Amino acid sequence: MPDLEDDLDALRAGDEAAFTRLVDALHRPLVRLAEAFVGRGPTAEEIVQEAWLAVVDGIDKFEGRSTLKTWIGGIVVNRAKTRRAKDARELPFGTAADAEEAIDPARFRGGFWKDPPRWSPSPDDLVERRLVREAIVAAIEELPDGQRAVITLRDIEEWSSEEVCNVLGISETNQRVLLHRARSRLRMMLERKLAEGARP
Amino acid sequence: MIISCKKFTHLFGDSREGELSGLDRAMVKLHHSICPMCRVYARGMDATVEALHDLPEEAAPEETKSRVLERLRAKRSG
Repeated sequence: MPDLEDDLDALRAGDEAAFTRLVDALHRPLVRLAEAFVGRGPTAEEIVQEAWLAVVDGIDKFEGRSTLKTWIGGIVVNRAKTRRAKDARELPFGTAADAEEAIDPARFRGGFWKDPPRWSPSPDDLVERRLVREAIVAAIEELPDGQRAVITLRDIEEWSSEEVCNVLGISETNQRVLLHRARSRLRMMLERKLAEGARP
Repeated sequence: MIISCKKFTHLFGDSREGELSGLDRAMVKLHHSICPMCRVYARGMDATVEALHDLPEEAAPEETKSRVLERLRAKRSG
């Protein structure tokens, strides 16, 4: 991904190509970010749309004390939190499902595998790698909202853990727990999806 | 000391991130070396994270970009 900060002068000058690059690079992760607070649906998209207009209006005042993505992410999160408070949702971030175990406890007996994990795709087989990529896109949609936001920002968009903690307002430990649960849950979902796909 | 498979799956995330203490790191390494089932779990985790890194970027909807550019032009014309 290109370094967004390289475009900062062009953005301040109102360069349309630079804004198009910025919106393309950040729109989807920002929607995922908003969804972690307000759930999926048109509200998250609306929040990000409004945030983009605020970015256009306020880019001249951006002093570069944070990175562009944490500044814009902060605008989205503030708006999403306000909306969440209006809707009186109980948890400050994510959903109760974010706190559940990533692996079905029934797969263990006495802490050891009763139903052992499986993983058939070979890392060297290009067709199998493609199958994993296709299955993963569907599986991400099944993650709880908080986990989905963290894994999108960290593993797909490759934001640093510091940037993710700053934007979401969560501790480093909480971020690591959500990331690991998301990866582990995805891994187990992929195991199931790939086995279903391989069945004749 | 041998940790359980369940404990291994909990510690494995921090192990990947390099966030474990020396003792926990040693226990994860030992469990990995003796438990073929947890090696399969770990292989799937590595492949999952690699696949996430490989996903292509999704462009923003055209309508969003148009609204941003309209606002930009309105701002310029003051």
